[in-house]
Amino acid sequence: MEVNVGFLARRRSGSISVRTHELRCDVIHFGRSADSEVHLADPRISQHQATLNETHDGFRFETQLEGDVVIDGVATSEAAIKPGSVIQLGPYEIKIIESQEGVDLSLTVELTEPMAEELDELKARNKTSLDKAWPNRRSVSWVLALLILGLFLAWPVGKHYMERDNQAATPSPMEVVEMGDRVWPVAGDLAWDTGEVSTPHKFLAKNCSVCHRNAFEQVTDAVCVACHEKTEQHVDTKNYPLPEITQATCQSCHKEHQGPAHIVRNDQQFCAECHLDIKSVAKELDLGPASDFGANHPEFRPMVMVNGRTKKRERMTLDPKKWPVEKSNLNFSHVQHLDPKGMRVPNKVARQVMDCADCHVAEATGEYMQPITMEKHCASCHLLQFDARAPDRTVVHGSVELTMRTMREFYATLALEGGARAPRASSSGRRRPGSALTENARREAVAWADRMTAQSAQQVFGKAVCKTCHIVTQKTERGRIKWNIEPVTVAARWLEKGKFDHVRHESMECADCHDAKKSKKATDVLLPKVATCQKCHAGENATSKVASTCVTCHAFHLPGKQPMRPGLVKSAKRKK
Amino acid sequence: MAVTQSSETEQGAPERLGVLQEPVISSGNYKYLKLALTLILISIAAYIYDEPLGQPNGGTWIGYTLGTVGALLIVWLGWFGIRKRRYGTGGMMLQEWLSAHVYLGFSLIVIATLHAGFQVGLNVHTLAYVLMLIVILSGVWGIYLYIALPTRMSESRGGITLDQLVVLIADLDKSALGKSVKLGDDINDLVRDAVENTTIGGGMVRQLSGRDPSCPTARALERIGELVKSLSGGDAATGRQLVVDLARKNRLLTVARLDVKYRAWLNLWLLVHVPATVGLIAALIAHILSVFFYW
Repeated sequence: MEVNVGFLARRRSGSISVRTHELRCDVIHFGRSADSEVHLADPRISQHQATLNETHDGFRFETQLEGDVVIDGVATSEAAIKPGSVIQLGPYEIKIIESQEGVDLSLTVELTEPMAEELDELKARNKTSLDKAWPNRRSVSWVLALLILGLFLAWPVGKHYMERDNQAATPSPMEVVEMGDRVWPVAGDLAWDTGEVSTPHKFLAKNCSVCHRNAFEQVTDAVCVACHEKTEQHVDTKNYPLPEITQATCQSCHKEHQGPAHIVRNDQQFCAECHLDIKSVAKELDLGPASDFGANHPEFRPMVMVNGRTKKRERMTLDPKKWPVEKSNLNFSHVQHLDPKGMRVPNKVARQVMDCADCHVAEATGEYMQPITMEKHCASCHLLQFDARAPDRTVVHGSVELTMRTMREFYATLALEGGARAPRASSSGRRRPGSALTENARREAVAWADRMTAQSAQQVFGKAVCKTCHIVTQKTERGRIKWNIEPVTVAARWLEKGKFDHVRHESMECADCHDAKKSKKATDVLLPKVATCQKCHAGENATSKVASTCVTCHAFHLPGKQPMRPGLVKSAKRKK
Repeated sequence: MAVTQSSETEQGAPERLGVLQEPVISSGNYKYLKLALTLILISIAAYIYDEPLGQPNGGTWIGYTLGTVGALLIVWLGWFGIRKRRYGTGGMMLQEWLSAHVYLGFSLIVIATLHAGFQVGLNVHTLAYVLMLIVILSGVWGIYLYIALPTRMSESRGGITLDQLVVLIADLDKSALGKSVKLGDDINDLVRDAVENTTIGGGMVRQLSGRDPSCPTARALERIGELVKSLSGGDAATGRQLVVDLARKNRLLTVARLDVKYRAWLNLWLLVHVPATVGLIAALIAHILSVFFYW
């Protein structure tokens, strides 16, 4: 067959050049091989890619592999072709065109998809910068920043508003407990926790918005007084409107998120600001200057009973020249009771040696001593007998009236029973048993009992029993003596403004501070002077003594003063 | 964001890194070293002097002050990443900026630690602190790399750039294709695969390892080396020339990949430094806002 093959080449200008070959053969081979009739010199073409044959009814184009060629838009391995057919063979486009006279077939061949520039392709494939690889700086930065802002800012803020609106204004401690523990990350704001909450407040440590109510607002005093409504002031702010006190907030002195210890402002400088020259703040107050326990602290001034009957107490200085006298109306000698040879004990031969702890026992708190009572501490020795003939009979402690009645009943019974136990009783005492008492005899018996009662009362009240410990007075009313025991008021606490823990000082001897072994009278105020404390304690900067600041012994919130924030208590409650 | 740059300028980066050496350390007669030391000393003195109620922390006056100074420093030092992309435009030279970046960055360790009062916990505040330490330590790593690697890089490339290497490789591709087009399909396919599918670099692991275990060029070299033995005549000569082309290309690829490896390691610290900086700024925002949100 006669075949015309036109190789088309497009110039940059757009014009097309044609290089024509005339072939005479039975089969046309298309391939990269140099012996191909149609030589296609492109690496993407195989050496013998396709053939074109003449058949009885036209021409067929064939390749070895199915889909290796696209003929008139159909991917195939062989197809009949005719003028107008378009064959896409790899990067080449082969068009069958109308033939001239004497030519069986005419076709054009054009490289429509030339190979890209190797350099451009290589550059496009190469990834020589880490920024082009994954993960790169930009994506990691975005992910990290969004993760942090979402998890540690947006989520906690949202959660705060969601939860706060479901809460009472300031929940009570039990309400907080019932809220239960919140956990991170559900409770996102827990990631904001700046430090451990103090032990007393731990029960609310996981519920931030109990205290942190409003965004960008410091925890208000209203939150504190919702629970601590009774906390008292330091001074009467009406008379002493000191800005240091009235303008301070709870947080000025009490810090949270500082670990288990309860952080309280306790520097002595804070107190010394006023107390160094307390007269300039409140000249009418009877207070001495104080700024450092070791260097500048006034002598102790106990509240001493000056009148046991009216219970009037006065603040007095422990002045050696004019030592205070406690008029508690008690007679008592420490010397006698602490006799190293011991005390006589009723119904026992051996003497009993006593020590302080037999009577003085600290309360569990250590701050107070347990009260001393007649029944518990005195009665085992001090038997309240009134008649030697009846040593088992005692009067009642604490009531003159009951004592008188007990004695009168005793003697009246004796008079009525008669016999040797009442030798001076009237004749009534010698009547025949079963015979009725005459009116005369009855009067005699009563008179005898009254006489005996009065005699014993004189002995019990006036001389021996009560008077041992008590101040007893008497007056005559309608010819009868009325006995009176002056009430005893033993101080529960002399130094009311300071706290002292006996338990924490138990390693010391009582006598180290209390000179009881020389005390003969109950009027002795057996307190140590401040110098005694200063032997071991000094101010907060002490290095070789126990460093003690003001609040070691003194409270800031003073009992009896008005509440710290009375207005806020009301408003906090109203919100509930 | 930080110390390297867009892909166009990147190719010449290692040569420019010479600026990272002495001038950075001593820039302006150690001006920023002195400034940083002054900051550190003032911070320590203030910390010792202050006796706050409770433990020292970010909530005291000294804490607020150190926190403010620290936060401003972080933002300012972070600005360096943006600033250095336009170096040469401001009043300060790049070396000066970098010198300030390094020394003041170090001073942050002291300032932030004192700001926190040595307290750490499982919270957003310590997260910011830890991110800051990661930023600073990765910066130290970066300084080391910038001093150690550029010399090794230019030595291994023998004075030519990566760009030039790529051009040489593309030339060899063209030459190999010109030869393989005359040879059998098996050889031609191998060459075409080597030309079309060989890459320099690639994913993170490829770049950091500097190797391509499935390199089409290495494969083609190996197989064609065997195949040409069975060729004869003119094909045999073409085949031998083709093997030479492929061997040269393979050598150039090794050098280029080693360069990419150095380049990747030189940038890897930035993959830590930059995201940690951005994360730090995010954590700093969360830290500051949360502290005052729950004041």
